[in-house]
Amino acid sequence: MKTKDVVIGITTAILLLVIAIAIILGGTGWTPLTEIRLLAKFYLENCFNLFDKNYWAASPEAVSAMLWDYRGIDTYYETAVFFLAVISGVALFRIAEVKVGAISSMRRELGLSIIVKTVTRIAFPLIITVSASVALHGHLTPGGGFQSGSMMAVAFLTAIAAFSRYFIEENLKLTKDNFLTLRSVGLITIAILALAPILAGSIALMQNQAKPWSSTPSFPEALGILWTAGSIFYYNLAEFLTVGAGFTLLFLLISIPEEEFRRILRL
Amino acid sequence: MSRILSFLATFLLLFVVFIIASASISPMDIVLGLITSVIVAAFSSTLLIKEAPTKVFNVIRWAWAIAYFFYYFLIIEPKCHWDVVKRILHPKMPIKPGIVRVPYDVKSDYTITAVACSITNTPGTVVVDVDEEGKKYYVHWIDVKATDPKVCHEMISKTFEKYLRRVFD
Repeated sequence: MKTKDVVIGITTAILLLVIAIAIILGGTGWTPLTEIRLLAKFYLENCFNLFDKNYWAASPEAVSAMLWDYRGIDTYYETAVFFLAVISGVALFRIAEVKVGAISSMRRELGLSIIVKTVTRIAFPLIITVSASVALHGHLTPGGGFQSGSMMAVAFLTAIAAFSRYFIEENLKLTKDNFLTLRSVGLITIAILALAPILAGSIALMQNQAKPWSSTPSFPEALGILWTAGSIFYYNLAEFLTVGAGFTLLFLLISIPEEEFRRILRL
Repeated sequence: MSRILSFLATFLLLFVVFIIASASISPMDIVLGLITSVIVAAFSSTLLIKEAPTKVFNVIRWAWAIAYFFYYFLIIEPKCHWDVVKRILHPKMPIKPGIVRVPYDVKSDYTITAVACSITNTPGTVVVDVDEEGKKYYVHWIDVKATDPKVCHEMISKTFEKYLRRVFD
């Protein structure tokens, strides 16, 4: 046993040493790179260039600018694929509604201890507020629709773990149909935003800021004091609702107790 | 009236958290923060504040909370840290771990949680479970000095309860 530990220790040390020497001698190239790649240069120079607005996205956050402007259609399809996955989930769990009254007798014992419950009661609204902050600043700071939507879903996930899924349905009066509606509203908003330039006569789907060859005007950069980076702010907000509601919907579906599920299917 | 007060208290908390998370007080953030806080507070105020919301606006409770904050983090916590550091560095490692019953005499959910968190946050003691009907915690103690519930209460949680009762109960 002791010999084995020593052998493992020495082997690990030699392995780390070899990797370290390889990196020092430049075996993996220079890390970090000393020059900026051509593609990165384009985004750095153009995504928030107030003096040359030909190719800009009006968003100081280059990643958001790429996601919702430069390669917007890719993000749109990602969202659509995720929506299809959620719809398939809903179709698989094809029961109408879990009757809350059926399990009211055992509901008192549900959930974790009072300490976890109290902490979750405080954390739940705070997580949702912070996720909204991340979503609303997606065009200015790191973050954005998908990340903040996941954060919102985590708030509901902790609530399901600490209390039970019936807490969301009873205390918050939110059923899975509400989340499905919210999700559809978000996706339709994204679709409308994407099609708006086409309807206005542009040749480019999801056009945010007008390019030199565009015939249609840009989305307004700001709405009064609210800098929206053209359409990126609205896209982030819609994606926040879409992803948050979608994940929560799936969490609600997979947290239906097996017995309840079978009982309803038998009826 | 109490619903308005609890909404207001929740709203203020959420607004402050939004501003801290945004790390900016530009007009845009204040407007967005107000909207977000109103929406979230609308459905979470009853969740956050179950009892009388007047407690939130009681200055004496806040004074006790601030006093407890400094007393806890500047005196109680370093003491316990030092105790555990000594045990770790001691060549014989003098530990005697075990789980003891610690009764509590506080009422509200927040007090029970705050006392439990205070016990867990000090090195050496961890609350592993709580028995609401029997009104006692099950605490894992690195050095079991006594197994009698009353003595344990005296040694582990008496000070926490004294302060936190005045803050939350």
